[in-house]
Amino acid sequence: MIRAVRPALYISAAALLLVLSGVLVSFQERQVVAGAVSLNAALIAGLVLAAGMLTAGRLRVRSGMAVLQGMIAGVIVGLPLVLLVLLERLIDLRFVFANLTQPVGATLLFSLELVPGLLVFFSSCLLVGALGGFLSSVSRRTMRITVFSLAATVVVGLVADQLDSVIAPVDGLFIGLALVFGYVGSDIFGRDSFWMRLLLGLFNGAAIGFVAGLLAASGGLVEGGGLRLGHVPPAIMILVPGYSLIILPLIFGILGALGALMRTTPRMISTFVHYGGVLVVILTLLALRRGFDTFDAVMVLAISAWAFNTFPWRIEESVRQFNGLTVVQRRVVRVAVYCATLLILVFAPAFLGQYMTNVLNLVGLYIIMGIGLNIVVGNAGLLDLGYVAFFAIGAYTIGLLTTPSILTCGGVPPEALSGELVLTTCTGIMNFWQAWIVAILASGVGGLLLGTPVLRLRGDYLAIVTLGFGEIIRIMLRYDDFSPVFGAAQGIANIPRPILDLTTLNPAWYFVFDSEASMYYLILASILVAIFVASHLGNSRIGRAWRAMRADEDVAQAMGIRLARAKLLAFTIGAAFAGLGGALSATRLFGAYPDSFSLLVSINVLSLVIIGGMGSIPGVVLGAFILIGLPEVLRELSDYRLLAFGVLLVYTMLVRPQGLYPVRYWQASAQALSR
Amino acid sequence: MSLLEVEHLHATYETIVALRDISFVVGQGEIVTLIGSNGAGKTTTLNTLCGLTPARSGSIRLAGERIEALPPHEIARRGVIQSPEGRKIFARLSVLENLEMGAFSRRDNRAVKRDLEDVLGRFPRLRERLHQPGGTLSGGEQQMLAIGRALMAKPRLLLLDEPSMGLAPIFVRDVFESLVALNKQGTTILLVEQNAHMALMIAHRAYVMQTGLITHSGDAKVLRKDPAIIRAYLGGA
Amino acid sequence: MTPIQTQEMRARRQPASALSRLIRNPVQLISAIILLGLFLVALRNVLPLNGAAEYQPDQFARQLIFGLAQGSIYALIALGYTLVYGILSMINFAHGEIFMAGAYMGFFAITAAQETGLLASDPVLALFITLLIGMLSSAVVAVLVERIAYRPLRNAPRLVPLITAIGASIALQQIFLRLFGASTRRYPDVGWFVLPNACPALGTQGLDDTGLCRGIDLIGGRYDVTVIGLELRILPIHFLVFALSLALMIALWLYVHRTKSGKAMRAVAEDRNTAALMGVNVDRVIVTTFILGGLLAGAGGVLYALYNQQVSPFIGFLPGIKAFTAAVLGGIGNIPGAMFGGLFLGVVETVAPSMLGLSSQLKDVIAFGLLVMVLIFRPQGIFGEVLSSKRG
Repeated sequence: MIRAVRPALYISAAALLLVLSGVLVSFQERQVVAGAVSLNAALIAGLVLAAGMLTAGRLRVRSGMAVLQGMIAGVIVGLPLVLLVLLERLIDLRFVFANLTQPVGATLLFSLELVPGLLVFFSSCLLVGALGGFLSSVSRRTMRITVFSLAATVVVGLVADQLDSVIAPVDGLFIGLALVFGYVGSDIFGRDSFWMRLLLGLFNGAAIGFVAGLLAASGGLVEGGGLRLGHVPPAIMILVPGYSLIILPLIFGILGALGALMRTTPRMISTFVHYGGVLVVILTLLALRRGFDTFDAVMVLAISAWAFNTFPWRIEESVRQFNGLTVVQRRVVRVAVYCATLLILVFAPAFLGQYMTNVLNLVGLYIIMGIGLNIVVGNAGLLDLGYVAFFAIGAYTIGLLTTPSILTCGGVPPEALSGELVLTTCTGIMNFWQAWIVAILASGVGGLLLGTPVLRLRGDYLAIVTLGFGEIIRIMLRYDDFSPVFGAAQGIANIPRPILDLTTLNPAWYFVFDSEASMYYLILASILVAIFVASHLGNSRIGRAWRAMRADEDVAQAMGIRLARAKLLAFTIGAAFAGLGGALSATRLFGAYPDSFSLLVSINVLSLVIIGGMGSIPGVVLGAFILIGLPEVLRELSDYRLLAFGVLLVYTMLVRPQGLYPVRYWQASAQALSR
Repeated sequence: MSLLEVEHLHATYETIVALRDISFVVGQGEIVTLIGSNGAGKTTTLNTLCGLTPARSGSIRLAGERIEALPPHEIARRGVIQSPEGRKIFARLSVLENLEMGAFSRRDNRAVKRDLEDVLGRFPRLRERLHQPGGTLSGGEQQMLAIGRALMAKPRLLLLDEPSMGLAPIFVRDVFESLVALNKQGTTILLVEQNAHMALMIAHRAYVMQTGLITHSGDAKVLRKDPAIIRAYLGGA
Repeated sequence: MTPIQTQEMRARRQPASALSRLIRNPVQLISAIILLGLFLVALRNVLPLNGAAEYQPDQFARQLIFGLAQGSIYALIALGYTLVYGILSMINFAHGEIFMAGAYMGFFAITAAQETGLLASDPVLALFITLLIGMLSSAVVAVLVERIAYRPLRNAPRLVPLITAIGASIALQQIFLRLFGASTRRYPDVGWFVLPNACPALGTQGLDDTGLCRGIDLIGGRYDVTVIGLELRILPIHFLVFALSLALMIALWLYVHRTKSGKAMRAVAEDRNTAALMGVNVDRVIVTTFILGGLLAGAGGVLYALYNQQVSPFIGFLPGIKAFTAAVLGGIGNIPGAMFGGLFLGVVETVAPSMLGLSSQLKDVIAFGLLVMVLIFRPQGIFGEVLSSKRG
């Protein structure tokens, strides 16, 4: 019995934690559905619902009993909260729970008086719990659709105001039309022929493009034009006004072809494309309206319900079609997918705006670090808790080599020099690209140095020692007596952005990477290189040696693998990746500051590697987006990020140790695409 | 009703199917031996009886009570005590503490003290080394300690896993003589042995195991004379 | 083969001379050179060359006393690490937070005592209750962590429980942070006066705010005295902490070596399965181990908070790592080793920065450096490891 009720107990504890930590107070302000549902109400309701579903689901009983179980779960979650409200009347909770800025009663009781408020609250818990129980007893499909649609609505509601500038309604409309017509229209005539379908998709898309071009050329889409929709100016339409009648049909033709191709793709891509497409549609529609009120919520609910209902079999159909293709056709699909991905990545900053590009840059840097740590932890099984040290080495190296410092001024601390002397003495200042190489090498050497003494250590000891090293480096960088070199607590400031000077080829080619968008492209390029290197390493002899070492060191050694060499390689290469990222980070932030290289960063990277999937590069990417990107977008949650990491680490190890995107999936997809 | 009834026991050890369909009985007051070559599943059988390895299916009945789903300490408390393969004495604990560990599940302190004297009387060499760490004893002494430790539990059913392993022949004789004496005093014994010769000498009945199945069974004296057994386990004619 | 026999065999296989071993291994050689350099620096500071030495004996005495007190806290925490490692072969990363939990809950207890006036009227009882509550809270947290995070993973490959432990550690710290706030909480001033007849000897130092002398204040007192020519500032609380910790450690040792439950713990630590065959409830023994470790850590937490007078959710991190260093230093799984390691670390970390002429900012670096040195030169610790025969 206890075992069945356990999820409800955990959820009850979580609810208490949420209430007592003051989270719900800040959530009260945040509306999920403007004017109707606030975040804290949604959260509590969601928790009780989940409790009801999990409790009833464990017991697998008939519908009536399930409802009862759900109600019991509702009691388990609701009762402690009721008691808490009553307790609050007796003793001062705020002394103990310092984050409680508002009495619990005010948060929970819907602004009612004590007794009616408690009654309403408690009966709602019972009701929602019963609903949860009921949901778990209906068909799995209905339950899945209901829960996912509700969750999707809540999430969209939360991010609505930040993402409504993702895509201009006009752009979205036409892109959507091209894709849909490509998807659907190719069915009409050429159901069984891949090439016919492709051609039809191309044709349909081009037609849409032509129409769009006419509209653009006629000026109906600009400010003051009749067709300007929403409050965000279109990007695609305005980008190419002069050639709109040729370029636009071309672009949209490709989109149409892509739409046609969407019907025959392997599972992962198909899933991503279908749900991603629906997301874009939803965001486009939202971009038309301000805010997120009940009407929007219902609309999103309806669309998601339809999506979750029909997509599974569409995806299956798509996979089936894909498996029926010939080798050449599959190659076409693969190339198309790569090109489309590249296009999306390249054009993202234009659509997403400054803030989101900033977020993407942060995510990108963590991806680079994650790929590096993935080699150390995920492939080789060496738990390195001091990884941030190499990131710091990379950052400080760039700082020291691209600004006047003791290294570039011939051993003289730059503070001692006056203005003009700086220019003449500090001849060692390198440009970013040279310094970048040095930074990567320096970090690699750091990895080598760290790896050498710890070669023979057991896993647990290795973790602590690396943690110690990371802390030692941070303390040393911050140490006041080293201030002439490292700048102590202020670090190194005024690090310049990279400059690409190709004026010898063409006088106009002088690029300064001074915007977030330009850094985005640099980071993107680095990520692509990193993925390339890492996946080839993973599939090579050394990669297999690492995996053998991770499984069992003694057996690997008995098979002839030179452990010392493998470990050192893992440390060095992993460190080099971190140095690469560290340099980029320093230049992006215009400085290297010791307090930004704390254990926290190591924990962040470790979390995303482990939760994303050890040894899996797509896992790292997914992990970075969810663990680093999501808190940046959902601002309310960012304070609870660390708590979530801790809980998620435990949860992942207990329930799904292979991570969100395990290596197996990745290998299966890769195989599917390359066959 | 026999003291121990095992029916259709099926067990896996890690990913290998170790016991495929084992059935045997041990009557009160008997010495029953399980012989067979390495890897036949004898140790797994004992470990499953003691609850260390979970049984996939089948039943184990101790005086009528089903014990296959119980945790190891519960089974030990019901009087099923194993002296494991390789003796597995606690090297860092003293001889005395090892013996006291044997009596861990018992609550009758005065009787425990009496049994301690009995055991030390039976194995005087242990008394000499009473406060030394168990790891400093020789192989033969360790085996005595292991048996003494098992005896301290006042077992209803004593399971022995290869008591002769790694012992010099003279010690082997000592050990088996002690077992016979024990049995005469009423202890039921299930003996797993590779040394089929000695085992069949002292046992009443025997079972022969091979790759997870029982291939032969019967009176020990009869099996001693069975030519197939002689060829396979008793070193030829 | 028994662990003792394998140890003997390993010893026989080593090359004869320690020096030749040192030269063959470059890492050890470089580290030895660094240590030698540090030793020379320390020597220079200690010896009175060109007049008075940089580093005076009374400085040493003061730091020694403080180091022993700090070290006994490390020892209490280290015992928790060593007990769990001996039985489960895993580092309980969350142990530092278990220490913090005790200190924090002790804060609520002592504040309640202050509010109700108990602290003023009967400080001994109030302190005792605080200590008790701190110890119990830590024990409860320890058991919860074991049941939720560690028990399901008993047989998982070694990386998995380690990651879980890290996650549990982060989660615990953050839960305390979210529930109780990030600000530092201050333990109230406590006055526990003994030996009123010592008042004349104390002179003006013995007077409290009202101008009365009630005796030696064991908790809050600071007295400048001169002993055998050395000028010392004595805080009785340091002695109190040391004495209490010692008492607890002795109690633990007695428990482990003289009681039936302790015997079962040692048996399970050595060979889990065989102990189960004897009728030992292995799960219960493991929980007992965690409880013992928690009790000690909680006591350490309250004592730490008493002489530091502050708690926050972040106080668990550094002492946790340092205590682990201490446990490794003494030999993991080895109870006297952990005690020694803690005291040693406490003294060295307090004395070394001054002796080497460095700022105390580098105190933590010394602790980490010590860890690295131990693992390079003698990973089994000074007194040797005491591990389960399965993983040894």
